[in-house]
Amino acid sequence: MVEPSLIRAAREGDREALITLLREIETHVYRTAYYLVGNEQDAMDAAQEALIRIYSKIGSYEEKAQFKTWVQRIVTNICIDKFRRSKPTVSIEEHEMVFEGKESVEGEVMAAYAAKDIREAIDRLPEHHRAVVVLRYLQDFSYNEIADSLDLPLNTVKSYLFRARQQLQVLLRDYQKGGVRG
Amino acid sequence: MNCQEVMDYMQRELDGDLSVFESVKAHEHIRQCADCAAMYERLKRLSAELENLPKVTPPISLVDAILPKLDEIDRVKAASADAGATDLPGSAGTTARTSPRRRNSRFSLRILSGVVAAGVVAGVFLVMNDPDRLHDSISGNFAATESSSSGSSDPMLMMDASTDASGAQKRFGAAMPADIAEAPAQGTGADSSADSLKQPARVPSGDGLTDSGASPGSDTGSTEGEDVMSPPAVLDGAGDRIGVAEPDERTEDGVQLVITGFADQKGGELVESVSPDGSYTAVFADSRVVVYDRDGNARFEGEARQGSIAAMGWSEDGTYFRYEIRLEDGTEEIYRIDPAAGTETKE
Repeated sequence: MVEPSLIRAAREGDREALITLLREIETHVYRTAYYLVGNEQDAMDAAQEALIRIYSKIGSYEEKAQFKTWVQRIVTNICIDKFRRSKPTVSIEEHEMVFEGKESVEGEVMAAYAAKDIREAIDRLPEHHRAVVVLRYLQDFSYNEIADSLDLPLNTVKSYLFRARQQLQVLLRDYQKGGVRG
Repeated sequence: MNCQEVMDYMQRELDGDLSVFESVKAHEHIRQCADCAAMYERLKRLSAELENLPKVTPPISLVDAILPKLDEIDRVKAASADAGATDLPGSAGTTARTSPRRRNSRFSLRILSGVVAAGVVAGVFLVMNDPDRLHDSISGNFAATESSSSGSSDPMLMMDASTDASGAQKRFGAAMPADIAEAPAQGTGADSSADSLKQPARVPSGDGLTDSGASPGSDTGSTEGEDVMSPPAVLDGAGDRIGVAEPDERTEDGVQLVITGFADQKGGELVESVSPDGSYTAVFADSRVVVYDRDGNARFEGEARQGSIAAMGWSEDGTYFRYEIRLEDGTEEIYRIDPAAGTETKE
C-alpha cells in the first residue's frame, strides 16, 4: 500500500515525504470515516482531523505495527469519539418497516436500492460492529489487522463481524420482504 | 455438526478463514439442511454486496485543505522549541492557554482565593511566635495577594497568576506551612500558581488539537483531543515546580508575563496571548481581536469576524500578531495585526 521507505523518511522528519504519505492515504482515511459517520461533511472533518493527527504524531509510529492499521486506528478513534451520533442503533426486532416497491422494478434501480439499504443498515449497527464491517469490507483488512486497528481481541473481532453480518442479513431480508426485491 | 456450528463455519468461509476440511464438512450439512442453505445464500449475497459498496473518495483533496494548518503546527512547534530551550520567566511570552471558564467567574474565585490566603495567614499568625519570620511570611503573601487582586481593574493584570480557585486553595492549604517554616520570604499561593502557568506557546486551534487539560496546576476543563503542541519537557518542569518559585518571579514583570487565555466554545470565545516581550496582549473576544498595551490600554481594535478562532500567536520579535479564523463553511482566513502601526491586514 505505502512504500516503507516513504514512511521511514516521513518519520525521520522529511516534511515532503510526510505530505506525500498523507496524500497516498487520504482516500483510505476518508472512506473509513465516510462509512463510520454516515455523511460527507462529517467524514471530511473527521478525515482532516485524522490526517492532522497523523502529521503531528508520525514520530510516535513504531514500525513494529503495520502503518495501515496505525492509520485506521487513528481515524476510527476520531470517528467513534468525536463524531458519535445520538442516533440510537435499532435492534433487529424493532425493525419492521416496510418499503413500498414503487413503480419501478428494473434491475438497475433495484441495485441502487440495495446499496442504499445496505448503507442504512450499516448505519444502524453499534459503533464497533460498524467499524469492524468497514475495515473488513472497505479496507479489506484481515481479522488480525482489524484487531490491531481497533485494539480488540481477535475473538471479539470475529464475534462482532459475525453478529453484524447476521443483523445486516436480517435487516436486508426485511427490506426484501417489503417488496423491493422480493 | 449442528446448525449453530455451521453458521460459524459459513461466516468464516466468507472471510476465507475455512480450511478445505472444514469447508467440506459445512457443505455436507448445508446440502441436507434447507434453513442453513437459505442462510448461506443470504450471507453470501450480503457479503458480496458489502464488497461492492461504493469506494467513495473525498470530494476535494483533504491534504490541500489542511496544508495551512500543518504549516501552523510547524510554526507552533518551532516556537515551542524556542521557548522550551530558554525556560525563563521572560520567555513564556507567546503562551496562550484555553480554559472553558468565564472571566467573571475566574475573577470572583480569585478574590475568594485571596481571602482564603489571608485567612490562612491569619491562622498561622495565631500559632506562630517568631515575629521576624512571621513578618516576612505576611508581607510575602500580602504582596502576592495584592498583585492578584489588583488585576480586577486592569486588563493587563487580569491575565495574572491565578489559576482556578480550587487549585489555588489546595495549594494555599498545602504549601503554606512548609513555606513559612522553610522559606518565609517566598509567597505561596500566588507564586505557585504563577509558576504553574509558565508554559510554552500553545495556540488554541479550536479543533481539539490543543488540550488545555494537560496544563499542569490547572484543573480547568479540557477539550478532548491530543496535545500536539507543547513539548513534554515543559510539562515536567511546570508540574514539579509548584511551591518552589524563585523570588524574582513575583515581580511585577513576572505577573505580567503570565498568560492565560480561554475559550468558551459554546458561548463567546475568549482567547488571550501576550507578546514575547510582554508589551502587548491580544485578546480575542466578541468575534474581534483587541490589542492592549502594558498598561492595559486598548491600542488597537480589529474588525469583527464571522467564525471561530482557530489559531493565534505573536511574531518572535513581538511586532505583529497573527490569527486564524475558521469560517462556518470550513475555510480559513489569516489576519495580521501590527499594533504599532495600528493596521490589520488579511494574508
